[in-house]
Parts: sequence; C-alpha cells; structure tokens
Amino acid sequence: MTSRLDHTIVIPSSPEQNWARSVSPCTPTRLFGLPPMSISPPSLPSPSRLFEEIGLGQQKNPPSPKSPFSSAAGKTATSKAITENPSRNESSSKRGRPGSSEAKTAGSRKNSKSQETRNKILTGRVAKPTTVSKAKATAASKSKDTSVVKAKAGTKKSKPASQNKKDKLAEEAEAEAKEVADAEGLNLEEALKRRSDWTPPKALSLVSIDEDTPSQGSGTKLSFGDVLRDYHYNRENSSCEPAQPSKEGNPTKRRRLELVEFEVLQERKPIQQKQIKDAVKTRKTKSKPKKQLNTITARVTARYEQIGELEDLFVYNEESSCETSECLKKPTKPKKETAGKQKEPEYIILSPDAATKSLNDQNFLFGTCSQLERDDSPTFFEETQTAIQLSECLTFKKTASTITTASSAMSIATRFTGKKSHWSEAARDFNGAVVQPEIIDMTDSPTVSVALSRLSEVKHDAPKMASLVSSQSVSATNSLVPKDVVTASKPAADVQLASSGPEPNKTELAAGPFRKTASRLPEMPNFNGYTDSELKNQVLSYGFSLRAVRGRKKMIELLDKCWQSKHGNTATAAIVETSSSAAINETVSVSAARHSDTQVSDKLPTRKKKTTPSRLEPKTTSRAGKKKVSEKPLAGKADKPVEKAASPIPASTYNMVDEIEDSEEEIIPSPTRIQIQRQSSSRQTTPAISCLPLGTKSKRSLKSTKSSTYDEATLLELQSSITKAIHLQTRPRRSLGGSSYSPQLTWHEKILLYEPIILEDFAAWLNTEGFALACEDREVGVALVRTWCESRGICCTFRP
Amino acid sequence: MTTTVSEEAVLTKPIPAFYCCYLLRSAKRPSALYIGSTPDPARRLEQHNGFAKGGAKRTERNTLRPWEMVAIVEGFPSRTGALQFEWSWQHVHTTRHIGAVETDQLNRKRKNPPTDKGSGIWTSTPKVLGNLHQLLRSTYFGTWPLTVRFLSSEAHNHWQRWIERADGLLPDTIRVKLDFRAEGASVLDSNLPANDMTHIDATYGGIQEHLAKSTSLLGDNTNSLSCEVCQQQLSTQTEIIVVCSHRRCHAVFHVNCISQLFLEDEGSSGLVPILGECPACRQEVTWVELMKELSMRLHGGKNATKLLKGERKDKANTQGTKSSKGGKKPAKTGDYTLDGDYEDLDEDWMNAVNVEPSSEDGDRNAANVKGSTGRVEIVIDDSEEDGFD
Repeated sequence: MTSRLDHTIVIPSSPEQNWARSVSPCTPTRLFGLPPMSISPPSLPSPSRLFEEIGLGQQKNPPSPKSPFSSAAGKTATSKAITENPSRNESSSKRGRPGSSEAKTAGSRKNSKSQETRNKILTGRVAKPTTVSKAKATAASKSKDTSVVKAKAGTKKSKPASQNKKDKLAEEAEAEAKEVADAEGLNLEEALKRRSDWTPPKALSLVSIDEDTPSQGSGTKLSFGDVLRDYHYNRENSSCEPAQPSKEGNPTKRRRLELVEFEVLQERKPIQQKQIKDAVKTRKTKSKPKKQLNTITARVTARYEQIGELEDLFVYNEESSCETSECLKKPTKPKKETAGKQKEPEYIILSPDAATKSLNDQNFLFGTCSQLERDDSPTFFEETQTAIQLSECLTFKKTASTITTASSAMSIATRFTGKKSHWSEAARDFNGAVVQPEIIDMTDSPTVSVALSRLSEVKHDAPKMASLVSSQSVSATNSLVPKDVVTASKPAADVQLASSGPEPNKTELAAGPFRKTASRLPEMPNFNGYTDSELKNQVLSYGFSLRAVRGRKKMIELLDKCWQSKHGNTATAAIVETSSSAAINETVSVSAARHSDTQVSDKLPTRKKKTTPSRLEPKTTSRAGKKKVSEKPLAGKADKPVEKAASPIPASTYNMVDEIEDSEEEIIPSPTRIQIQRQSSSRQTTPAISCLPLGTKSKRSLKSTKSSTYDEATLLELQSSITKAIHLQTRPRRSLGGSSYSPQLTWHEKILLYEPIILEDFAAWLNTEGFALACEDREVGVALVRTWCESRGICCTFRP
Repeated sequence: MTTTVSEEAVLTKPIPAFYCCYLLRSAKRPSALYIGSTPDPARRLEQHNGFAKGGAKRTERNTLRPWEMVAIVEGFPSRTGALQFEWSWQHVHTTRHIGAVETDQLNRKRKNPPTDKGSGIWTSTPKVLGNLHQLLRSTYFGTWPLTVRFLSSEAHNHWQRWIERADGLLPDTIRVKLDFRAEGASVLDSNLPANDMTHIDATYGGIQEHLAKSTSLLGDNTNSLSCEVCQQQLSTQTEIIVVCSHRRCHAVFHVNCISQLFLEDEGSSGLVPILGECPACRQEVTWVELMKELSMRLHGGKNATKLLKGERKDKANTQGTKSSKGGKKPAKTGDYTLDGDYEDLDEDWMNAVNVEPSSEDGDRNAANVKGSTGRVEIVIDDSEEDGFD
C-alpha cells in the first residue's frame, strides 16, 4: 500500500484532496505512473468521461472539425483507446503526463486545470454516471470487504459493468454527438441522463477551484504538484466517488444534487476569472454561462445578465438551447429545448402582455360590476317609475282629460281607498261620466293597445307604450320605461308630459290583477303580485315576524287570511272613514297615488299573467267603484282605516307620521323624484299628511297588543283594579288552625312582609273576592297577575 | 306550598336572616366563575372548596379550587326571591326580567356570542357583573332591598367600569358595599381561600334584640298600645303590628299605617317602602329590618321562641351546649343560620344556637381573617338544600 505513503506526500501540495486520497488509494498509483496502472483499470470506468473529454477537446477545437472528431472519439472511447490524447494535444500536452493511457483522465484534468474550468466540469459530469455505477458496485462489494482494498476490488469489479456502460455510452455518445454536434459536440446529454440519477461529488468542484488559482499563478509550469493534482483529480473522478459513499454511507440522491449545485456555484467563479484571461474565453464563457444556467436562479437571472454581455447572449442563444435542456434534467426532450427557450424569453418579454392579460382578467371583474349595475337598474327603474307617477299625480289636474282618466284608472287599481274615492271624485269634478266610460274601455277593451295608442298619441312615447302593452313582456317594459323616465326627468315640464304618458300603461297593467282579485274578494289585493320585499312589509304590518313566516307562498297565504279576516271585521268602520275623507280627497289622492305607485312599480314584473284575465272583469269593478264608493275604500284601505276606526286610542297623528316614514322608506328618492317632490311640495304639505292612511307601524303595535289577551287599556284597568282590591281587602277571618298570635295576613300585608306571592292563590282570590271589592267584574289570569307583581317588584312565584 | 289558606300562616317562613347570591371565582383560574345562592356563605364556600359535603359539582375540580367569593348580593327577603335572582343571573338571556342583555356588547367581536346554557360557569367577570347590574336595574329586582357587597377590589373595578358604560343607575333600593378582603388562596393553606366569608353574619342575631323588645311590648300590655300613625288602638290578636327597631323606641304601628307613611315620605307609588323615619324616635328605619322582625314574630314559631331563649341565655352569659358535631368551634356553630329549609331544623337546633350578640361579630371577623384554617373541621349538620343551584 505504498499508495498511502504517496498520499502523505501529496497532501501538502494539494491539501484539499486529502479525504479523497485516503479513501481511494488508486490515485497515487496513477500519480507516479507506476505499474499500479494496471490497477488503474478501475479508473477505466472513467472512459465514459473520455468521450466527454473528447467532447471537450472538440469544444476547444473550432466547431467545424468537432463533429467528425467527436464521432471518432466516441468510437475510440468504446475501444478504450487513448483518444484523449488528441484532445489534449492542444492545451495540456505541454504538461508532462504520466503518459499512461489511464492517465488520460489525469491529463484531462491538467487541461481543465490550466485552461478551462468548463472542461473540468464536463468531465465531472460525465464522471458522475460512471462513478455511480462504481459506487453501486462498491456498495455491493462493501459487504464483502471492509478495507480500502475493497474499494479497489469494487472498482475492479465494476469494470465490466463500466465497460458495458462504455459500450452503451459510446453508442449513445455517437448518437448524441451527432445531435450535440450542432451545439459544439458536447456529450452533455449523456451526462444529463446519468446525472438524473447521480451528481458529481464535491471533490470535483474543490479541485476546480484549486486548479484555477494555482493555474493562474504557476501558468504553464509542470510541477510535480500539478501532476499530483492531476492524479488526484482523476482519482476523484474515477475512484474517489465510490469512496465517498463508503465514507458517508449509502449514497443518496439528495446529497448528489447538492453537490451539483455546489459545483455549479463554484464553477462560476473560474468562469469569470478566465473570461478576463484568455482569448479563447469566448468559448469558455459560452460554456460557463451554460453552467450558470444550470441553477434555476442562474437561469432566471441570466436574462438580465445577458444584457451586459452580448457575447454570452449569442452563445447562450445558440448553444444554451441544448445545454439548458440538458441542465433541465430531462435529457430525453430535445424538443423542449427550443420550445422551452422560446417560451421563457417570450414569457418574460411578454411580462407587459401578462400585465395586459391580468388587465383583461380585471375587465372580467368589471364585467361583474357592470352586472351589478344592471341589478341596480331595476330599482332605479322602479324609482323612476314611482317618480313619474308621482309627478303625474301632481300634474294630474293640469293634464288633459284622457290623462286624468288614465291616472284615475290607476288609482282604482291600487288598493288604497283614498285613490278610489279620489278617482271617483275626480271623475265627477272634471269630466263626470265622460271619463269613466273611457276607463271602462281601457280595461275592458280586448284592444287595449288601441286605447293606449290613443293615449300615447298625446305623448311622444306613444309607439313605445303601444309596443309595450302589446308585447306585455316584462323585459320590454323594463327596458323602455327607464328611457322614458330619463327623458322625463330632465326638465320639469317634460316630466309632466312624459310621465303622464307611461303611467296609463302601468296603471292599466297594475289594474288588471287588482280588478281580478277585487271581483272575487272585493277588497283583497293580489299578494301574488307583490314583490318579496313588499310581502315582507305586509307581513310585518300584520304583526308577524318574518322568521315565523318564510317562503313566498306562506306569506301570501297568511296575508290573504289576514286580509279576509280584517275585511270581514272592518267593513262597517271603513265606510265611515271614507265618507269623512271626502273633502280632502284631492290630497288624499296624491298620497294614495304615491302608495299605489310603489306597489305598481313593484308588481310590474309579475303582472303579465294576470292582464289577460283581468280585462274581462273591469266593467263590473268599475261600476262597483262608481256605485259603491264606500266599498272601494274598504277594498283599498281595508287594514288601516278599519283599525283606525276601531281603536279608540288617539294615536292618529303619530300614526300618520309613521306612515310618512314608511312611504319614504319604500321609495328611495331618486333625483327625479326629488325634483318632483320639490315641485309638488307646496301642494303636498299638511293636508296630504293628515290624510295619509294609517301606517303599518300603527297596525303592528295594535296587533301586538291585541295578540296579548288584553288591550293595554284593559290591562291598565285590571292592574289598577288589582291594587285597588289589595288595598280594600279587609282582614280575613282568622284561620282555624292559626295560632292566636298570628292573625291572617291580607295580600297587602303579605306583600309588605316580602312574602313571595303565590300567583295561583292570588289570582284566585282576585277573581273570587278581590275584584268584587274593586267593583271589577272581569277576571284576571295568572299571567296578568304575574306581570302586575313583577312590574311592582313583588316577589311572586307559581305554586311550587 | 300546597297549603290551604288556613295553613299558610303556619307554614309561611319568616324572612331569612341572610340570603345571598354570590359570585364565586376560582383562585387558581380567575376566568372560572360560578353563581350560586346560599343562606350561609361561609359554609357554602367550604362546600365549594371541598371541606364540607354538598358542594356544587361544577366546583369540584381540584384544579379550580380554592374558590373565593368576589361579590355577593345579599338582603333577599325570601328564599324564593334569592333563587329567582340566582337563576336570572345565571340565565340572563332567558330570564324574563331583562330584555336585551347589555353585556352582549362586550363580545361584539364575536359573531355568535356564546349563549349561556345555564351552566352557572362563566368566563368573564365583567360580563357577569354587568349582568348583575342590569338585573338590579330591572323592575322586578330593582325594588328589592338588596345590597351588593364586593369582596374583591378587582371585581369592584370591573363593576365600576361597567357602571360607566351602563345606561342606567342602580335604583335607590340597591346598595353597594365594599368589603375588600384578602383575595386568592390563603397563605396558610393553598386549598383554602384567603377569605372564608365567616365575617358575614348570616344569623338572626341582628334582630334578636328587636324581637325581644317587640315580644315584650306586645305581650305584656297589649291594651295600652296605639298606632303611632293613626293613634288608634292596636289589637295584637287581629292586627299586624310593627315595632320600631330602635332599641329605646317603643313605637308601634299598624303595618299598613307605617307603610303608607313611609311611602308617602318617599313619594313612591309602590306598595312596599324602602325605608323611613320612625315618627316616634325620628330615626331612620329600613323596611326590611322591620319586616324581618315582624315576619319572625309572625312566622318564626319555634325559631322565634328559640331565638328569644337564646337571647336570654346569652344574657345570662351561658354558652350554649355544643351540638354533637359542631362543638369544636363554638363561634361558628352558634350562628342562627336559617337554612334553606327552616322548618326542617333538627331537634338539636337549639344546641346549634350558640347565642352571640351581634357585637361579637366584629371580633370574630377580626379573628377569622387569619384564622381561616381553624374552620376546616366544622360540619353543619342540616340537610343540604343548596342542591337547588
């Protein structure tokens, strides 16, 4: 094992390689070119490198000769021939080689040292696969032998395998060489293939560094130390690698990968240095940037680096396609090279495009926004509609007779009594009988469109309206009406005209369902025509919680029931109201119109279906309207006035205020409407307010109180009578079993004594004796007694 | 209470000597709170801390012991009322006495504030105190003669903070008393709270003298008595007579008359006055103390007589014989505790009554501040009705 001794000698010259030497004794033999060269065959596995080396040599040579040369080299490699020599002739022949064929690798090292890191790198890569095979072989052999000799034996054993590989590789090399020939004939692809499984050890990189620095200093000197290095280098490539795993245990892919990166990083430095040095640099630089690109970061940054170095750029463009692809660890994808390259730069260059793309995406988002806007539009539509109708109502007197009739029809349609009474009055006031027949025609006429057209003729919008009615499509109405509204909203005067135009149609449409329902149940509004929000409002107004009533159907059913019950109860009361309100009819009509407007507008979408059947019945309803003015109010106001009349509570003013609020809430003031309101503000003022029907809130409160078994009033009365009874209670007879000391306590005394009041007993006493004392003939329940007690802080409890 | 009208008088209990709802807090984990009620906080605290039988299950965990009472609401004129208050305090979201729970504002951050499931275990002292504040402002409890006693300065700080944000003020009937004690676990025994609540007089000792006076007044010369308010003759047999609680005042009233007078003075339209000025001695009397004595006189039955006997014994400086169990610490066992079931007091109830004048309480308090360990052995033998909570 003289080799070891040699090692010791070598160490000072190249300390870094110590570990490698210790592992693999083979190298020293090479160093001295000793007969152990026979042993060197283990290094033969490196022949795979030979190809590469050849390739390297080719690289050095001008590109044109390379291709043939490389192929030749491949062939030579198969035969283990010393084909390396030619490659080295150029650069490293100066340095004394061991001269042995096995030293070829060493020679290559020298070359790499002095001249190009690239070569080294390449060799390293090539070496990897071979070493892998060796390593495996050694790993297998390890189990047998424990000593360093094992490694040798391993290498020996690995020979055949490596040779086989050589053959394969040679073939591959040939094939690849052809391919790569274009890109300077490097056999890198092979390396890549192997590399996928394996990566070169650190030793390479370390060596490369060392070589660089000394090479600079020593120049072309062929010192013994250089020789030693070379040998080390070879050894490392060939035999050290198997040694490594032995050191560290089983080789792992991770490890190797790390090594690759490390190598790449280190190789960069020499690249820079050499670029400055040699004229041949261009080539070298070419190769170097390639290696740089190996890392992802290098690749990414390469684009930006390129700008600085045009040469590199070109080289990169030419060659990098191959190299990058090789570096990509997917050696079998030559196609990708070009494509991937193109793509990448494109993508990068297109970064603004990407931005535009993203912008486009944003545009989609905007699209959604626009959709949202569309969603808003219906509300806007409703608002405008209501505004128009309002304006129409306001200008109602001014407008022509036909318009008035239309408006009156609308008022009929709405359920509020005020409208009807107003409508009837208006009819009488202005045109009397003339107006109503027209209305009848409107509703009845199978040719509504004709009537509409007649009306519309007055206005500019006539054709639209006619088409509207004829089509009866909601979408059409939606689309058309807003336009009208917009036009109407601009000038005040226009508002009146335009608004009057569209209204009749709407009113008619709205009227349809109403009359239909009205014919069946004189007053009940068709809740089916309500929007959800309106339904909710109605449900709330009846004092129900929205939670309890879910779903449109349920709400409608419930509302119908409520309506019916109310209607039945309140028929008489309503009549009184209607009669009373005659004087203020006009203002009433305004307010009523408002409500009706909102409702109508809400109903628009659902209206279609009912229009056809409704037209059959209008005459009857209209007559009813004429004859039974009293009934109409019932139908319209039904809920509100009834309650008003029924409830003695003088909350009228309060209620009215509420009502105003409600109406305000329903109608979101659009600019147009605000305008109209301003215009009409003078008229609307107090009378309108006073005439407003009772608000939903008032209903709610009343309902809620009613829902509890007692009215508030009666409740208060009862409670006061309870206290009265308590105070009036005389001392009860002394209980039989009671001790002489304690007289029976009255309830008042019990309360004073903080005794918990047994509610059942207390209620029983109240109902039997107490209320008799207080001249109260009603009875109280336990619940009421309880509330009474609790409101006074009297401790009470049910009988345990 | 399935009593007929005739039986009511007999079975009606007198106003308890002491009944309180308390907020219990773990000394080890201050976030663990418990709301309970008891006529005897000291004993109840022992139960919670495992030194006496009958602690609530929720307070059983050793990791939470010892428990300490950080605040109590005392002065409940009836056990029923105390239990109602306790329940309402535990179930603020379901009680009918308050609407929206104001302390829900505190967890505005959370979308779904945890609903109290009536567990009695709470996590937030400020919230519990806020709930207490709101309960005390309710129409129902707001008129009760309650006192909030804070035993922890920290709890009181929370209370103050809440008062600043709360909408309303406490009604006049509710008093707040600061009674800061050593907090946390006792220095001497980490398993004991520093404050064992023995300083609170949960006995009828306070009304003993009053009761004695009234019985002597009404028992001896009944004919000469006349109501101080209406100046009419009083009939002890047929009328309910209130005696002024002040020692030297011998004024007697019709209960209706005096209540009316007080109510007029207060200007309130309620039924039950809070306090008033005795027309005879011109000293302020609280309605509760009057009623406490009266109810004891009316409904106390045996208890009242025993109380009187005890007083006599006390006057004679005779220390009551110890009950079989409780003999070790006479000062403790001598409380006139009216427990949950007053009528169920044992035959040796008398033995347990170690009559002590109220003046002695102060001394005992001083002694007990540091001597908390001495009370470990004490077992109160009356049945445990605190399972109510």
